[in-house]
Amino acid sequence: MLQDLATIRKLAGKLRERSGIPVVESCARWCETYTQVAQWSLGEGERFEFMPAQEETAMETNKKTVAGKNGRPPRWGMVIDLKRCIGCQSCTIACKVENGTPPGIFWMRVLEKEEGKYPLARKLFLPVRCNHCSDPPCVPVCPTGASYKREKDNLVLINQDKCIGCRACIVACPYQVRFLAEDSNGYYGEELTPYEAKSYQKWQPRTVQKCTFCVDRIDGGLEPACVQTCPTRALVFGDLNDPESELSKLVRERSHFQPRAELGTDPSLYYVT
Amino acid sequence: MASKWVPTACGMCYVGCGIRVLVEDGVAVSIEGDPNNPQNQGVMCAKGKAGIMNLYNPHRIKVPLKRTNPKRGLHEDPGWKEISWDEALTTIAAKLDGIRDDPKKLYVQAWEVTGDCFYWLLALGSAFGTPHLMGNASATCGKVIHPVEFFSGGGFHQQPDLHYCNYCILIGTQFGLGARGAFNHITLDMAEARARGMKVVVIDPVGSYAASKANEWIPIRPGTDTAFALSMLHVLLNELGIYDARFLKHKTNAPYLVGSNGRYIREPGSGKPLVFDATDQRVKTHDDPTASDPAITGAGEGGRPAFELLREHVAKYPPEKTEEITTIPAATLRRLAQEFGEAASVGATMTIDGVTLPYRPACVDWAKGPQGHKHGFHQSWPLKLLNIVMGAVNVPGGILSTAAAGKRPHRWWPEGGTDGLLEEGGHVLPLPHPKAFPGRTPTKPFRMDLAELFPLAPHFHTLLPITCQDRERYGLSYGIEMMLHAPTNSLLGSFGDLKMVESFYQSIPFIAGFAVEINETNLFDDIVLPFPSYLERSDFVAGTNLLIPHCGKDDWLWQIRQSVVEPPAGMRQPQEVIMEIADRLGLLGDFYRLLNHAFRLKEPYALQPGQRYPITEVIDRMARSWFGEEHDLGWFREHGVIRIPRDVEEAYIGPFLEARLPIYLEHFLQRGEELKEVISQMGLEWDLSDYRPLSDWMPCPSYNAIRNGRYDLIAVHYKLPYVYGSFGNENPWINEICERTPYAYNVLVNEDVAKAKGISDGDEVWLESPATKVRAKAKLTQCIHPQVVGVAGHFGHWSPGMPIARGKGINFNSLLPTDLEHIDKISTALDHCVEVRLYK
Repeated sequence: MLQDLATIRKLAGKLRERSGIPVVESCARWCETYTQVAQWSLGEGERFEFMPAQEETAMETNKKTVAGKNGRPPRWGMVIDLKRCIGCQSCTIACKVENGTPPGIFWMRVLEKEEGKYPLARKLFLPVRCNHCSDPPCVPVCPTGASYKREKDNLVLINQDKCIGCRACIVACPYQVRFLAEDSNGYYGEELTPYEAKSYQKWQPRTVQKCTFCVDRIDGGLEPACVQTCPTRALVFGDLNDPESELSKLVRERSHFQPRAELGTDPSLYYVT
Repeated sequence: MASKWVPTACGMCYVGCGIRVLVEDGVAVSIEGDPNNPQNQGVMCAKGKAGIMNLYNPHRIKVPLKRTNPKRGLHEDPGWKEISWDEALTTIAAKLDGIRDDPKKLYVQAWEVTGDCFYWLLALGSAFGTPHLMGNASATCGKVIHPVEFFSGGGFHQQPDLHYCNYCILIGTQFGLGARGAFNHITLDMAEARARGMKVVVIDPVGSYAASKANEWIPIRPGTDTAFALSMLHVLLNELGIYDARFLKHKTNAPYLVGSNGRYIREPGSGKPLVFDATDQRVKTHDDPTASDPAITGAGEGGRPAFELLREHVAKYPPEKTEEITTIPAATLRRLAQEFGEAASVGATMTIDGVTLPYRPACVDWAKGPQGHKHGFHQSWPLKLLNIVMGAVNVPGGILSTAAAGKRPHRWWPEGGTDGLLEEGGHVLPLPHPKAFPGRTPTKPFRMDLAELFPLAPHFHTLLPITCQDRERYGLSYGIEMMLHAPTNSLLGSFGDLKMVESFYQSIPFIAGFAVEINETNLFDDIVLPFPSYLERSDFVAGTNLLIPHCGKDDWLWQIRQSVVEPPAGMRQPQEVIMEIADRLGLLGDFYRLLNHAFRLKEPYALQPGQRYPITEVIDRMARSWFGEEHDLGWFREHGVIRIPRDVEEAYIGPFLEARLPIYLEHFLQRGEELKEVISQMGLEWDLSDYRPLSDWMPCPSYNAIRNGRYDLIAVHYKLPYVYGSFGNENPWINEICERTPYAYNVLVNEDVAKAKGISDGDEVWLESPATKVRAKAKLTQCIHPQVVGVAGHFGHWSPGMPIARGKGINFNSLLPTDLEHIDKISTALDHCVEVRLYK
């Protein structure tokens, strides 16, 4: 069930009032409302909505991935362990250095928000990025076929040579993780640093860009850069079609949700809580 | 396209993680953590990952500069003019030559510990003959933790043993969650420890990163940690009776008999402290091997065991009394004490690699918060006592002392001394800090930083801006006439009130220093020397893994830093510049003698007088001398790091340490009395009440100020994991993160408090302390104590040389009144909780 901030605060207050419950336990119980967080925000004008996955939906998805093992190609996915994530932003910068994204554009970032009322208050962290949905709303709306799903492994990618920058996919994506750079300016203006001069070759201005799960790295047998750098190993990458993969096990064993699962996009990304 | 991965050491903070840099056609295009480096195990923090943008910052200084505007001030334009290296070094050498008759007129501000420059600048200053060598970062940096570790741990800093700890209390620190040495290692260990069920309790005025991931956040009023700790001790020792009696009897001075004058009862003749042996029912010397059961309760020979005095002392602090001081409810504190005491599992053992050790899986950790205080020593010491009374020191699960002991590449080990107590800490480099125990005999000062009047402190630079204004008062008949400094920003980071630092720097006739970019400290320079990026440098010491590495049994390491890209034309390696200055002064022989000592270089590796070396050759000599001929510079260039296994003794030195730890600081009485004598001879009136053997809670100026009404809030500083240190401040990626979160550049204020003041989220406000008044933006939050304003990071730049950082956030240190009333008389820490008003 979707619960708003006021409800969560009320719940936290109630737990605090109940005599005999140590604060530790009370906080732990309060944290169970994590998956019911309705809104995440970061800065002005940016808002995200998430809903918890229905338990049954999650189980069903899980079964599907198990079934997929028989003869199906890999389905690259990611598990983000929200208990481990400390909001350090290392993944955000790892994405920058790997993909050379221009100012203002973050294929990967960590949102933070507060929950609770003093002294039972804390910050929550939520790394967000393209979810590489199984049924991505951004793909069918593309008029040129630039946005596509790579059949061999379920990655949602963009052929920037075909993209005309119409932004239909940006509007269609319910997760707001597609971006368009108006120009090729770097962090110090028009004159690019030697690093930028090289890394900016990875995208084109006035076309849409987004997280590719570091497709070049994957194809070379490496984990995405954000996963490689995470100091708490909160990000786990692997094949959702392989029931023995670490992330399949995490999804199986831990409580979890997919971002806005109710939309039917079937994200390849799970938050475990 | 020529492409290669080059191993080297990160230099975006003092930690020094192992990294690999992808270089394509001479351009650095990617940085990754080195998976073979035991320090960071392949992972990296945000700032380290962002290093390429520091390397290619177009505002970096690449040639020497001199100022043309003789007027120096916080906001004076120096009028830079480019000059040659020869002119720069000729000027510096001539100025140094001019003060050779009295070398103490030189002040060396050397803090920059990412590489060798720190040690080389200090060696230059020592060879020149000045005692004014500043080797620490901030006005809180290590002020209490180092002396406390030297005499109660053996190492340099402390770390909870995350491999085995089950209950970890963090006080005024975000250990493993937002900050601290060995950051990437401990962050991973902390994540694993939390995943296996270790409880984390964070006691902090600000509910930041650590509090957010803790099982429990307990807000505390700033500056009241002593009261909390004494109540915890009271509940444990007097109410619950939980303590490690065996440890206290045999490994501490708990059984030492103390007379009514507070001093040990000593054996006539030998002068050795006495204990009462309960087995034989008679007194014996503390080191008598037949004393099988030294009593820690009762009485003997007209004295009482120190432990009994401690128990009696802490009984003055029941939780009901300290609740008003700390705002921590008595019931909460009692529960914490019980949980902590039970988790400590007194009496339990565990076996590691066939060695049976005490197992105490509970500890208290603290850092900047408690030690940055008017009574910093006594704010922190009783927190360490919580670990000591549980026997949870240097054993699995407890608090560990960093880099305390090692056997490879050479042996270093802490040792006992005076009165059987731990006296010498262990150091991989034979460069100990001023002796913490039994301290030094105070004398009338000749040092400008008054080191002689702080006989127990590890650092002294916080006194400089105070004494330079009033030299005659301290009998100082000279002034600092020259400053040499590292490329860090001490003006903003190492002191308090900026007007005081400005006036200190203005009082120095000639200042020369290194710069990566022109920061606020450089605005006072007469000569600026360009300093290479860490990706262009070569260093034998590449970070602080020699003093603050990860603890426990994980491999230790040595790594070097090699340049991965060509430095800009004309850029020189700082060690070679320092070597040339020494040479120009004719000091090369003395300079090398110090380096040879510090780096244990013997024939055939020792540096030879009369010769100058490229830095790569020096590193090669050091590497071969330490690790054998096969591990030369070429080997390190290829491999980056050498892993050094640690055995159980090195990892958990507690049971193997042949020295006792103190619970009662008898020497404080002696030093206090001696100091009183000197102070009174000098005609000064100092409050020396901190020189007491058992800690008491004493209110600081801000605590009293908010009671008196003019101020209603206390400002404190806290850290952000992506801004740890300030090397990323001018980095556009880090800046972008700071701009996108409301928690970095804004000041935090409790939502309910702000609303009562008519302040809304995002409002521009005035933040006014007794030292200054600054414009800030308010972030309303539930994650902060209602009496507190939280200031993050190390911001507030105005230098034109830092156009990205300029005008963003505020500089916390500038809020701090800087006078003797705000300096801890034991540790020289500057009080970092300051009374403020916040209004629109």
